[in-house]
Amino acid sequence: MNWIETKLSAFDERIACHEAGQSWTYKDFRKSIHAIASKLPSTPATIAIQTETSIEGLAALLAIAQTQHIALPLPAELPIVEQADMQEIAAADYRLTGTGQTIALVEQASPERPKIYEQLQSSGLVLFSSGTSGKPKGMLHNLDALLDRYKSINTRQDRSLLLLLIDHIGGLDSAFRTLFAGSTLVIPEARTPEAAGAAIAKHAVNILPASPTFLNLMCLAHTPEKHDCSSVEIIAYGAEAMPAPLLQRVAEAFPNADLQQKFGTSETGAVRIKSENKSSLFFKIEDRDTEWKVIEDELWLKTPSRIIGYLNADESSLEADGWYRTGDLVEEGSEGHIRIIGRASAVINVGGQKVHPAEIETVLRDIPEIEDCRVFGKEDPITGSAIVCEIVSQASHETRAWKRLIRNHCRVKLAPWKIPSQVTITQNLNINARLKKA
Amino acid sequence: MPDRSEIETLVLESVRLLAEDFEIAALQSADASSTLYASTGSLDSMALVNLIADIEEAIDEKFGASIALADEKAMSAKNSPFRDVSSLVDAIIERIKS
Repeated sequence: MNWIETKLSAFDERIACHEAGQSWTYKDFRKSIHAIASKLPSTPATIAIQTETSIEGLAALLAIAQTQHIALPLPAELPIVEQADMQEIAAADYRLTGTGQTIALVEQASPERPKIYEQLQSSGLVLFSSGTSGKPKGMLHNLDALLDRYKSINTRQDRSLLLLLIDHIGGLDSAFRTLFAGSTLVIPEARTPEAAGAAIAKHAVNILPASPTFLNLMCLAHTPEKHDCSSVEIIAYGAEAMPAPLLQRVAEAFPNADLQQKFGTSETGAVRIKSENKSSLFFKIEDRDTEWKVIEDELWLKTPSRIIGYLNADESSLEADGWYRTGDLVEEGSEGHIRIIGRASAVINVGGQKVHPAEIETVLRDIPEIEDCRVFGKEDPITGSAIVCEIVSQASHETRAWKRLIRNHCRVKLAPWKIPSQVTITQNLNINARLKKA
Repeated sequence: MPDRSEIETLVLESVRLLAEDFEIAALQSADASSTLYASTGSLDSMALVNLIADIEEAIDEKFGASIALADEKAMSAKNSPFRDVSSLVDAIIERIKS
């Protein structure tokens, strides 16, 4: 019996998951793992996981662990076209579809196996992140190494909301931390503030892992006023920079909750960190498996669970000696604390001056009428790039009036080259499948 | 097609508002002969980027014409269209026409 089986069988009578009006005990969950394991092919293959429920998707991942197969989780929420692209890039030989008794493994024609698969000596996991070229960027994980990090997790009795899907490292981390602790996963009907609030109230969820963007949506939708969210004890936020004023609003909206920052990358998996204090965005990496360093403001990480490589992207961020250049720019504080200030790729160069969009976004959000905003650069023949901001507001000012309001607000707080020269107003910002701003 | 005086009014209004926002004293009562972006002008490059964006937006809103003032032609012109109010008005008319 492998460690996964041993660990899970200790929780048999407990509830593993609430999903789609159904409750799964750990016994049901293990049965599902066994049922899927019995269907797996005898020679190493790449298997697209398209089960109807997330919990069965997780069962499929654990069935594939410790085999020679490679898992490609494709939640139904992903657009069909994207799923087809991903299967093509990962060269999926089979698709696992259906739910319960109807779960079936369907063989399909696939392109040649990516060369990188030869480096794998265990079970694999292919995850995608949005690539800069428009095509999703596929990366190969050693699934066993990723799971090993949950081997010694302590038993708990939490009820944790799963907002991110199982094709995302953050979603998988939440799910595995919950399941290997014998706690309960609560999967909302939809990934909306309304559905999340309803699920929190119904199942007395005490752990809420969410992106700052999603927490902002929950505050704007007054979710904690409409649904009883008093059970929430921990809000674990991460995946993008958290603006300080939003942190304050979230703390006020969820007065019983302890706000904890999480950190990780698709390439390394989750990294255990400790915040400087409750209201601070500075944190310290406290993870015995992780080494870190800062080179030219960029955070570098070294973990045993680093990806083996990319399927279809340049590997220059992966150093031969095991280091991964995260592309996250950090500010160093006292005693080894760091704070994420943005993505290196998002830095806008205005006439030779480097501008971090997150800094401007934080200043803009102080304007009471602005609900949310996104700042980005646009090519400009005079200064190379111009700063554009897209704001979400229900207020009905004309563009010119908005611009003057923003200028006057920013002038005292930001250097002249950081003031947005173009302003667009929308009712909603685009939020991508990872619940971050697109 | 708006006439020259309508465009000049729009440009002057944009210049004055910008001058207020960025506290550029010399341009708060700008007129057709005011120097903008030149060796003796009162705008720096950041203010110019803002002014161009303001004017492009106002032209679009008032006259329904979408123009790009800072294009390759403007950047390589021997006499910059951004040197004063009247050259800027010329550049706008030229672009609305084409």
